[in-house]
Amino acid sequence: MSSQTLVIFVSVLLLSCATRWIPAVRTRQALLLAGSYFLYAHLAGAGYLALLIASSLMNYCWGVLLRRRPTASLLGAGIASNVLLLAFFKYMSPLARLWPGAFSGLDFVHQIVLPLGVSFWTFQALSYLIDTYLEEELEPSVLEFCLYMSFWPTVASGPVCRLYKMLPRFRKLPGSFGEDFSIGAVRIVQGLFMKFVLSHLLAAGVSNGGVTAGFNTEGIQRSGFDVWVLAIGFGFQIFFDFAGYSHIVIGAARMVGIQLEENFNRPYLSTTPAVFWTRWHMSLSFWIRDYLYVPLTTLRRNRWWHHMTLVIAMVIFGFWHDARLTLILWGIYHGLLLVAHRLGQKLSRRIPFKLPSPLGALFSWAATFMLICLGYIPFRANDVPQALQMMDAVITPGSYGFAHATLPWDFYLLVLVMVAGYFSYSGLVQLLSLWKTRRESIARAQALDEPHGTWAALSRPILWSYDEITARKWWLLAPVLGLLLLLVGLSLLDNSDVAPFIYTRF
Amino acid sequence: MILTVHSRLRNSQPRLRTSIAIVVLSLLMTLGYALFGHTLIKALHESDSSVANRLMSGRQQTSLVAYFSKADQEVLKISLFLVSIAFAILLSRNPFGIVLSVMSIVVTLLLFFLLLDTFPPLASALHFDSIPYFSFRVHNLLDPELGFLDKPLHHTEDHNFRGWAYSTAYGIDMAPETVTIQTDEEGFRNQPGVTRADVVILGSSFPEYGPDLEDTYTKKVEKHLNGLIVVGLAKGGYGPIEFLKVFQRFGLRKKPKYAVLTFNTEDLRFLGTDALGEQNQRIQNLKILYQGSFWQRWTLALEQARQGVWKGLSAGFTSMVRSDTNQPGIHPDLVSLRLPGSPPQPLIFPSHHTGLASEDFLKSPAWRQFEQVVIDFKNISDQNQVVPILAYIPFATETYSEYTTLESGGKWLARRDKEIATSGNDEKAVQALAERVGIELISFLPAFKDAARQGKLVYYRFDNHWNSEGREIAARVTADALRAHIDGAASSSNGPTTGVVQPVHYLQK
Amino acid sequence: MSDALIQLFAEILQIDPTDLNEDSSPDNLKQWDSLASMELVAAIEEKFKVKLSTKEIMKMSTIGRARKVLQGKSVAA
Repeated sequence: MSSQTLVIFVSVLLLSCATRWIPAVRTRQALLLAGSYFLYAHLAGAGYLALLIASSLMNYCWGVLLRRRPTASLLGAGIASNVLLLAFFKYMSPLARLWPGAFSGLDFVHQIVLPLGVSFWTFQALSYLIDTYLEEELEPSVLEFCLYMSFWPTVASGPVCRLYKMLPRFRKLPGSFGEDFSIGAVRIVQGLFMKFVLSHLLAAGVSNGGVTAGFNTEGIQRSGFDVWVLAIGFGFQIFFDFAGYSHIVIGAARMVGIQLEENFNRPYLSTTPAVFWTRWHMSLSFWIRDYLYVPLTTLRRNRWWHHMTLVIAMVIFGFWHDARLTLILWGIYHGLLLVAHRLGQKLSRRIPFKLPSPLGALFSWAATFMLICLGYIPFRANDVPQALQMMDAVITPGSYGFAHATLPWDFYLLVLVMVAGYFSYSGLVQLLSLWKTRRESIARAQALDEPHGTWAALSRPILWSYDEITARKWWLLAPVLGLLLLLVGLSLLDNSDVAPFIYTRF
Repeated sequence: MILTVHSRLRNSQPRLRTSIAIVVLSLLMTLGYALFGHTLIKALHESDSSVANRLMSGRQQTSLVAYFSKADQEVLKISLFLVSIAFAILLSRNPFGIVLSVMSIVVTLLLFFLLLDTFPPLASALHFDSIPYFSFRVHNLLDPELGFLDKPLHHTEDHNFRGWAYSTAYGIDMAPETVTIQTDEEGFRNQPGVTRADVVILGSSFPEYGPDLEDTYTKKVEKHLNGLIVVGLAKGGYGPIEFLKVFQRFGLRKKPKYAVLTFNTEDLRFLGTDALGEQNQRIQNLKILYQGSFWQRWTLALEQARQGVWKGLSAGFTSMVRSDTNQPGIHPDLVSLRLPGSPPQPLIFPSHHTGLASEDFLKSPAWRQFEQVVIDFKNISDQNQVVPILAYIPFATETYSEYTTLESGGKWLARRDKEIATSGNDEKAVQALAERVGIELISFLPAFKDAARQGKLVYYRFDNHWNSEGREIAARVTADALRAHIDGAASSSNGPTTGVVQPVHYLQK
Repeated sequence: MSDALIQLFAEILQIDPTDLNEDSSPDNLKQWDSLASMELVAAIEEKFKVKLSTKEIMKMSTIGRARKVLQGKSVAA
């Protein structure tokens, strides 16, 4: 990341925060839009900015037409124009690589560059068109719609927003700056740390390679155990990367005064695959559910068709990421997993036997976690043969055993520490929030002068110190956040001034 | 909006107002210095007034650029001090909070240090190996005799090599190189398993420098002497006394026929009474590293981290504020080099030749110690039937000073004339020393000067070490000298003829 | 009717009716997953004797909206 980009990013952030104090709604929106366009032009170039503006205006016109006459054919035309745009930029080049014959003579196809965020803002436009067709009360001005399409925190990689949620937020005056700033700043630091330190650490490994090197299987056969470690390692790498990015974006938007929907909600604590998709990349997952899965499923009232649409929806989810066969495999895998889960649900309703609650939940969680992680093998694999080879190692009993460990020992340790650390951290956060609610109920009991027993009386000093410290929690947290920022800074600067000390004379 | 800010300020507490005032003052001071500071200093430097006499009494001897650096540092220090005061005033509202913060800082730093100290590879993964403490934990071992050794059979990779003196503050884009280092069973940069060698190379970082083993001076010598085994026992950070100890401890048991002691006069900084301070500091730090208590190690790491942060801040501040006496816009450290047949290119001379008159060299304690080292080297070699050879590695400044242009930065311009005038003095001193001791000397300076005339750059642009071309030329010169022994004939020639590089020996019977 | 619709949701989703309100949706009820969605559609069509189009089903993103759609179809809802 160049220092120029960083400076521009910070300036746009500051400008956007400054708009909080402008009471005139339209001026505020215009300034946010100007900042968004400026940043987009810097990151993607003026040409693609023009494309974004053109798409925004085109979709706004579609919206006006649909509002007047919400017919299926108009909607179809609107959807088709957006899908064609997306397909042209995203899928022409990979398809040309797969079928060179079909594109002979069209050399420009190989030069197509993906416009920044096209998958995301196209999907936002589609959600707007479909919502308008469904006669939602949406009347954005041109300014508001363009801002919705190009809002700088979300334009690059989401979350995919819905206009009916964003419009009131664009229109109302933001609240307390102090609160927004502190929450936003913490989220940004947290996100930066997750994305630029934790994710990088997993990808590159500690000393001799990590996930990236692990997926380089030239001449090496990975054992079943190694494949599991790589699957889980990559699972956390991509989680820290994307959830970290989401934290940064949501934190930045919070500082500007706009609250965005969450994109991740402790996905690896999911107890079933169905729950996982309500906690992972939530904005896109819900988009696929609401605008693809539901309409597709309602076409037939046939149980097997319903299962089929699950698989189709997941395949499209995979294909949306990139036009690669491995991703389609991934989609099929998750589709079948969801179908299997659904069939299991129906079966369990018929069977009276049920495992005792905590045991059952633990088993369900473990199975879900392992199966989700296994799905990352086709997601990350470089090609289909590698994916199949690795999956094969998983199901071959002979390929397990420590004699077959081919990855560096510190990578195994790293993955173990990451997993244990993440689940401990989540557990700790849950415990803290439980304690917070308990504290609040004690406070209420005290306020009502209810008798609260010896426990509360003995714990008075504990409660007092808890109160004093939480009132000053930023004093405690600020140095930690500072250290995290330092680590992020070192990670970002790693290819300029900060060279390892091997060469200088000590 | 300005009105809102103004009214908010008026209504806020006095502490906040004071803090903001101090920060604003600090910013104004920095801005003022950035705009006018250097011009003012320059004016004072050149004036004759009594004010200048009082403030800059030594300005006849001290260069303008030195005043600039000192002033930059002082202004930065004052600026940081003011900001800290502002911060302290702001935070003083909540003394308990300050206590919590201090506790938090201490505990966080302790835990983080403990983590990195327990898993040193993590330090390099998190890029903390820019701090010498952690770099040493990852790569080195303590040795009572030599101070330190590299870890044996240790693999290191650096993907961001651009020269150790490189800085983005210079505004020059350089593609990074990947450097892969693998050490042998003894911790030197060779392929493992070499128990016997015909030639041992001693020295500091020059023989072991290179992106991979094949592109090092040692391996190139071996290639040119096809059939003979050459082993490298050189290590960056060693001084002449260590060269000798390495020879006795590791070199002799390889039963070599030839021993080449390569050195650069900068290696002499570890000798003499003045250098004892630096040498002692190094040994002290290493002792703390491996034998000190947790608290001593923590303090050392923190101190080095602080120094690193300060270096980064001052470098950033200097590049923001810089001006040059003659050439605005050129970083004071940069040198513009115009070689025959090429356009001028910017680079850095991180090291400079000593600039003394040759006679003065040999009188200094460091050189006298060095002479003793060379005498011992010769004697030990003679006792073990090894042919000792001294190899002099010149500075880039000795080779290229005359090709630098006036479009260079202020720091170079201040010393350019002197450097040109004294180029070759170091070599002459070494020649005299070699004659006195009676040891064969190879000097790479003539071959390098030749290369310069042909428009070749034999050193890195942002590093004091020789580059691939330089290593190649030096290896060829060395191999030619060794082959002369091997073929039985000892020849001497008086200098390079055009187009053909002749090795230059100074052999005294 | 208000009871009938909420009763239907409570039965299919196996939740206590007092935990449901007009804003209940798949986003805030974990029992309302994709399997439940289709069962709800089938149940509503059967109970209120209507045939729901794709557009109408897509509009039913909360209990309140489902009620509005049914009222729009002139069903006694």
